[in-house]
Amino acid sequence: MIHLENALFAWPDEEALINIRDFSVKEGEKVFLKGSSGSGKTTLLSLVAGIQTIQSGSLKVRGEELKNMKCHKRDRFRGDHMGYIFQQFNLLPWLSIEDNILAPVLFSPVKRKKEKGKHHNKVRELLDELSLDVDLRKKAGNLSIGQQQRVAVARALIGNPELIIADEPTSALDADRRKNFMNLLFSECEKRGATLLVVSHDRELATRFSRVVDLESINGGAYV
Amino acid sequence: MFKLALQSLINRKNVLILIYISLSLSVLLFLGVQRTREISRTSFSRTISGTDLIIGARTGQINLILYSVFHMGNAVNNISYNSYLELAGREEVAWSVPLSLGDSHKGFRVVGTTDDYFRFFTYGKKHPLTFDNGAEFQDLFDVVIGSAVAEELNYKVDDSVIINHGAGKVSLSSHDTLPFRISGILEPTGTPVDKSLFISLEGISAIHIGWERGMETRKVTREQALAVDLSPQSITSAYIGLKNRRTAFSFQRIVNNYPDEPLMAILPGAALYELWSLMGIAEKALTFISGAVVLIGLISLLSAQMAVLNQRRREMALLRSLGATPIRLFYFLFIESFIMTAAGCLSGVFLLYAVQIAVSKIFSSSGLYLDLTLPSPSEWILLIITLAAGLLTGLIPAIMTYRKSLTDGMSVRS
Ligand SMILES: Nc1ncnc2c1ncn2[C@@H]1O[C@H](COP(=O)(O)OP(=O)(O)O)[C@@H](O)[C@H]1O
Ligand SMILES: [Mg+2]
Repeated sequence: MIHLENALFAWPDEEALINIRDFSVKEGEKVFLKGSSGSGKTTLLSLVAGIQTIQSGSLKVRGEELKNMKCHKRDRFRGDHMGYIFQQFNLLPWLSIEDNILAPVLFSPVKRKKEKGKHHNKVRELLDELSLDVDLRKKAGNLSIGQQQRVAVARALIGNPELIIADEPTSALDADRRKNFMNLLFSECEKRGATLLVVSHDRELATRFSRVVDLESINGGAYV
Repeated sequence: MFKLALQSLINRKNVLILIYISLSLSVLLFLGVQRTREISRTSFSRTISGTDLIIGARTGQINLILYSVFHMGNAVNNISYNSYLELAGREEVAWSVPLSLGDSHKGFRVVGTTDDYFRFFTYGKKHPLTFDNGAEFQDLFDVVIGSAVAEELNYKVDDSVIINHGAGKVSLSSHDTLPFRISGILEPTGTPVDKSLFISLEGISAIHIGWERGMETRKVTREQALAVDLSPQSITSAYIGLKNRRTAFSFQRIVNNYPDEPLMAILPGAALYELWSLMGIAEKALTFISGAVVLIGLISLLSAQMAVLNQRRREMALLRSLGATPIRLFYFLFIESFIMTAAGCLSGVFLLYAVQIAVSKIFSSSGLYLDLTLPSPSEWILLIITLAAGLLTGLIPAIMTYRKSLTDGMSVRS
């Protein structure tokens, strides 16, 4: 699903932050990537998502070399095949919960096709599975952080993308909610056979993951 | 994208409503100034047409046009009736209308003239005067009134009215022994004619009997007046129509060099133009100010968009994670500004018509012409300029967001 080889990336006027000789994630695999703060986790996810491109080497997702794609193709590719969960501020506060969850369907024809026009039912199903009992028409800004993160999972899952990426999805949650949330995220991906890539500095959350990787161990970048 | 932009605008409605109001009002002001300008210019230039020359005692050309056409101010001097007859009798003259000004009725000016006035005077696109009711004066004590006079004072044909000596609104000395009968009411023209009363030159003489020393020395009755020789001695000015317009300059020279008394002749078009250009400075200043107000409205829109730019970098990162291209984010912000400016322009135009309808209801009798026309070409140009300026101001935050979203990646560090 993801394959990096001699991938090199540096922010402007900085030394190379990402320098990964060899790292891959197989289809359906659930990988937990651990790294301390500032080690380049978010940067790596930007590269995998195709927001930024590596300066040399190879980074393939679903067998496609991202840096060879045109900009808008890459954006399209991300919209079609990935679901992304941020640390926080995952939702557009001025949109309703339903519209937030359906936003990916708006941007990606592939996801739209996969939902076969039943996306409104799907929203309800997802919220049931995530045990969120809220009024769909409510503005997303009114939800608690925990609820917002769960809505973000629903949004990432809609349209059944092959790859779910989560960037420290629990760091804004209370300690006792974190495990719960990770379990939920894990089982939802499991159920759909989606590949899951989670980055976090908190190793505690990795219990159910088949593979836990230390970013430092694969990355020879400038970070020490 | 349009729906998203709209939702995002609705979310910030408190600030944006204020900006929307200021945009609407500034567009209203901008267009309003423009429209008033156009209306006053046309109503100005349509006050007199078809008259080749106006003659009067020597004075400034502005002064002469003011009192002879707009019935404002006073003549410094009269011209003798004989001089008028001699000039009007020249072979190049096709028609002439004498005017004797200086009296009033309840604040409306009284014009002494001949029935040629109703035959030859034209306004606008060479429109002759027409009667709404009744006909021109026949009798010495007949009066023809303009439409605004009739409407405001609620006069009908055959009503009798008292003509004051002097131009004041409230006059202690009225010729109340000599009532005039309304013989006709003119149709509205949108010119000073609407606010005037017309009587014969002999009628003017009649109301001045007993006033030879500048104050009332005796009262006269109708019978006494009829017994006196009322043939006019002097008039204030005269409209002249020539057989051939090309003789206007030579005729003007003859009048200006008239040996018996100091006279002058003016070309109404040139005088109107000079009068208009006097007002042109104020008019330009107004246009400039109203343009500046529009600019201020747009700047407040810009600052509102800039203020939330940083906060919105998160939204932009989010939209990018969903597959939005940077170009789409650019459109997103651009459409927002467009919606705001377009809404401002639209309601500005709407308000303009609302104000115009209200104003024309209030001033319907004042002879002010307020046609409800579609926006004129120059108004369209102003609207398009405003819209374009709005789009340009929308470009700035849009471009900034576009560039930020390229460099931000998935981490928004504020
Ligand atoms: N948008 C950016 N522009 C420039 N430099 C950046 C940007 N984002 C991150 N960096 C650099 O990359 C480093 C690592 O950041 P990041 O990938 O967010 O780490 P992590 O997510 O592991 O905390 C930062 O210290 C910073 O120097
Ligand atoms: Mg990070």
